[in-house]
Amino acid sequence: MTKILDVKNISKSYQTVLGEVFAIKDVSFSVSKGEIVGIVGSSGCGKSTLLNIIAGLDSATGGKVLRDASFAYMLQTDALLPYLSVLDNALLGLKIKKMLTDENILYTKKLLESFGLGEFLDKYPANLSGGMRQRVALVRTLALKPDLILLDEPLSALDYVTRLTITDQIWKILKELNVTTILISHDIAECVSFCDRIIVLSKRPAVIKREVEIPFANETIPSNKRKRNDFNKYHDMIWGDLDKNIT
Amino acid sequence: MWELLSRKEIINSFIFSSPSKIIKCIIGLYLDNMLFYHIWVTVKEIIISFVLGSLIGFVFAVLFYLLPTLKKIMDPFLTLFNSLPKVSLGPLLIIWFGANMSSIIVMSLLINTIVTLVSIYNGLINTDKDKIKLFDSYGASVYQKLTLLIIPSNKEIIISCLKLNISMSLIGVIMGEFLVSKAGIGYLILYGTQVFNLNLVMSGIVLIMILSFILYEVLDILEKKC
Repeated sequence: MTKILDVKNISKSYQTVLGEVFAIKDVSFSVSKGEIVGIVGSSGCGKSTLLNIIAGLDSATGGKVLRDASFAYMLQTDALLPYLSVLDNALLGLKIKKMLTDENILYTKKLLESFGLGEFLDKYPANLSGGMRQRVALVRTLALKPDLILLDEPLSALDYVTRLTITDQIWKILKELNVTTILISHDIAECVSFCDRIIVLSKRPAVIKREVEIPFANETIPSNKRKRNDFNKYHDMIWGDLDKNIT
Repeated sequence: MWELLSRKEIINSFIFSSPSKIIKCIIGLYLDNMLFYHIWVTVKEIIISFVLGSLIGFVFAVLFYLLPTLKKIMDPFLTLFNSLPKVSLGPLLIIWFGANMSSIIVMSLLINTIVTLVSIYNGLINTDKDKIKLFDSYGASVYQKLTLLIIPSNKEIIISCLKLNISMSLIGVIMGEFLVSKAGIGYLILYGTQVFNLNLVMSGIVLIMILSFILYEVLDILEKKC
């Protein structure tokens, strides 16, 4: 498979009065086209810093990122602009990147419709539920037709039921469009049900503790995967890593 | 109550005036074709200083936001200048800019610009960090960040700052007119004090209150339309 991202020996350190303190140490992995890769780790382990380095929003103090792909970033919060309509919010990335063509507008409208937001194009974010807002944020990300999507705990602000429903929707669309994705999450079950492969990070300084391939990743939607007998095997394996790490 | 106390001579109507005397005085000014002349002079000075003060304050707030080092360098000077009673600069302004409208406008700018700058700057630095990060991930230019995110996100703060600025401009203009003027509401008050015509002084104060109310309401309507 074509390699779309190669993270090589990435380190991030800060100078303190006690000397150099590492947030991330010597992390290496690669991502192939169409793959959904999860990065799991305890809170504050440096997951978001790693994603920022991949996106070029932060610099590494060691190593390099070889990214031969356009990317789009989806944050923990929906970051919708309250003074823009749903459609204008979804088109924001295209507008900034000066890619606002008729074809792209039509594509964005179709994406909004496929996410059940077709009737809300002229509404404002204040009129939407949390789940709907997050879907608009995802459409804004997908509208750019990126080769790589970086998702930084995109559903963490939603309630459990909405999360499960939207996870299914997002997964289906990502697989349909064959978009390469990196998902940052502290929710192991979400990662096991959503991703093809999971990278487990230790606590600070973050190093890769384990990489787990999910053999049933492409079989069905995330909510059905959760019902499988072997789902807990992978969940517990990762939990074990994190648990040992904390104690 | 004021009218009653004055008519019953419980308070001295020469010193405290009365509503009827103030109305008579304002009508007198109108009949002498002086009312709107003086109001217009003050309004003109307020508009000029309001527009200039808002623009200068806004531009510097944006500059300080974009260039944090410049903000750090200027910070002690701003603090010093902000704490300085601006009226103490009055005699210098007259020497530097002459005994004319320029001195009045500069006096008003000294008062309103810094308020605008500080208020708008505080709004800008509180722009949602996640949204800035999102714009950065799109590779947005400074101009795009300003026009699509930072300014629209702070629209309410900017408008409430303009409302504050209109009051500051009025204060600055009246202070300036006290220092140096040949016309305007501040001039009427000062002249009334010099000739001990307290009806004229009170009329000037009432005119300032009416003017302040109208200008504030105009901005209020503007705020609702935005």
